[in-house]
Amino acid sequence: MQYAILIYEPDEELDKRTDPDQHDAYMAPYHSYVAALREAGVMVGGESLRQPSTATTVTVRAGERHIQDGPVAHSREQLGGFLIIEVSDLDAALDWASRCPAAHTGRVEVRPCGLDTPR
Amino acid sequence: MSSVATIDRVAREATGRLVALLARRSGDLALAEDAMSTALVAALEQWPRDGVPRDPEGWLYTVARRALVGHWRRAEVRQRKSAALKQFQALQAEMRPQEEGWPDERLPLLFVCAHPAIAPAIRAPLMLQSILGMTAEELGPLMGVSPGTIGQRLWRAKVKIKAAAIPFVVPARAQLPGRLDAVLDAIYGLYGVGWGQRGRAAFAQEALWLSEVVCGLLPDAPEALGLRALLLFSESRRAAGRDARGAYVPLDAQDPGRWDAVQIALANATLRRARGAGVLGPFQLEAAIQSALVHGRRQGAVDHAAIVALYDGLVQLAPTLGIRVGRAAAMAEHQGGAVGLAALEAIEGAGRFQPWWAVRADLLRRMGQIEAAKDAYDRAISLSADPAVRTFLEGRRDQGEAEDR
Repeated sequence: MQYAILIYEPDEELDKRTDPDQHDAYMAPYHSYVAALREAGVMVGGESLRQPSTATTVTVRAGERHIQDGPVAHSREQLGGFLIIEVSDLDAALDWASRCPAAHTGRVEVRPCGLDTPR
Repeated sequence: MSSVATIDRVAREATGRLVALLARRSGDLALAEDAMSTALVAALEQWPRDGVPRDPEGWLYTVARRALVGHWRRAEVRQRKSAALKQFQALQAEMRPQEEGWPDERLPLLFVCAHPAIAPAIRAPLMLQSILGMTAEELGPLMGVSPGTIGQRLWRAKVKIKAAAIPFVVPARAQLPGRLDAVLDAIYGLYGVGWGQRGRAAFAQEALWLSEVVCGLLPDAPEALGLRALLLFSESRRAAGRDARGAYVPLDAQDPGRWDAVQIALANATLRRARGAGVLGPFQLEAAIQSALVHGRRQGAVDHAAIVALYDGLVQLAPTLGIRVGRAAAMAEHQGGAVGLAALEAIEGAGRFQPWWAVRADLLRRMGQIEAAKDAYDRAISLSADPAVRTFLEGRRDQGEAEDR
């Protein structure tokens, strides 16, 4: 089973990435987390995403394209990155998700990957 | 026995066991229930005509398994998916008729239903449907929503169980206490829904039965035993909670002679077994409070100090609204109305909690503060779902007013 681990972080966490004094301390736990995922052989892929302020939202309605500055959802926590892991079941996925640094500083959403099928 | 009655009995006993078995093999609760329904429909058609088979449960299992395998075969043909084929082959290999009896997979199924990834409100209905075979039509009115609504919620939960691959396993020993608590809480909540209200007594019976199943499957789990003891104490007083005309009788006015002595003895024995494990928990403490109360009332002298001490321990472990209100009421018995009232007023967030207002009303009435009591009675009455309780509270309110004049 493949699961997406969606990493949501509050602004003050995301800001640490661009702060020269805090950058290394912020990144270190993510490096060891990803290393642990690779070592366990469960890592499929993933990406860190740039600041939400760098996002652009696209909408096409009645053939007309609208481009807007900013991400889709405006909430206290923003999507900061995602990982795809391959494990046996939800309990294993939840165990990995709870080891993600963002689970302690923000929130982590676990979703099974795949296509929904008609009922 | 007529075959319809046999189907009914076999269905009740076998549904949970067979659905659990089929669901664990397929990881798909909805599909397992469909397969079981197919088997029950076939039984209703064939048993009255051909006679009840020698091993009715085995017969049902064979037909349900065939329905499940048929589904996988169709899925395989339709999608040519290797995953479906693999599952199909595994099913065929694993699901040979077993002469030595059926492995009991109900416990893993209960843990799936009360998995932390499943919303708490749908856990008990999921258990009722998968273990007891109750339909959305039966569940809707009991849960206070339409059958369509509950059916949709159940469907969503089952889709999640399958799509997110919630595992059909009993959690490892390290996680067991927390995960078992969720199972026990769902059963306790179910009992709460079923208690006190006419027409819902069957719900309480199902909760009692589920607690028995859990104790049978986990005979050394102290909190499972504690819950069972608590439910048995509560059940023992069900009949005494109503007079001959169906009016509500509060605990302090009940005749202990009308309590069910067999259930009380069973509850005490169950609680002793729980204590043997040496790990205290909230359900055991609540049961211990019931035990002390029952013993005291039968002897004619309740040890209120001991009950308050038990409540003190209980609020440390589980500071729920109900328990804190219970503690305030116990303190009033032990140390007087003013102390009880102060403890009651220290509880926050009880504005819509019926027992808080009912206890407050009773304490104020007994302290002679009739006007304040009347307001509290009005609030308690407006928050009471049970008509018999409403009538009782109205009686107390009006009696207080009459004495005041």
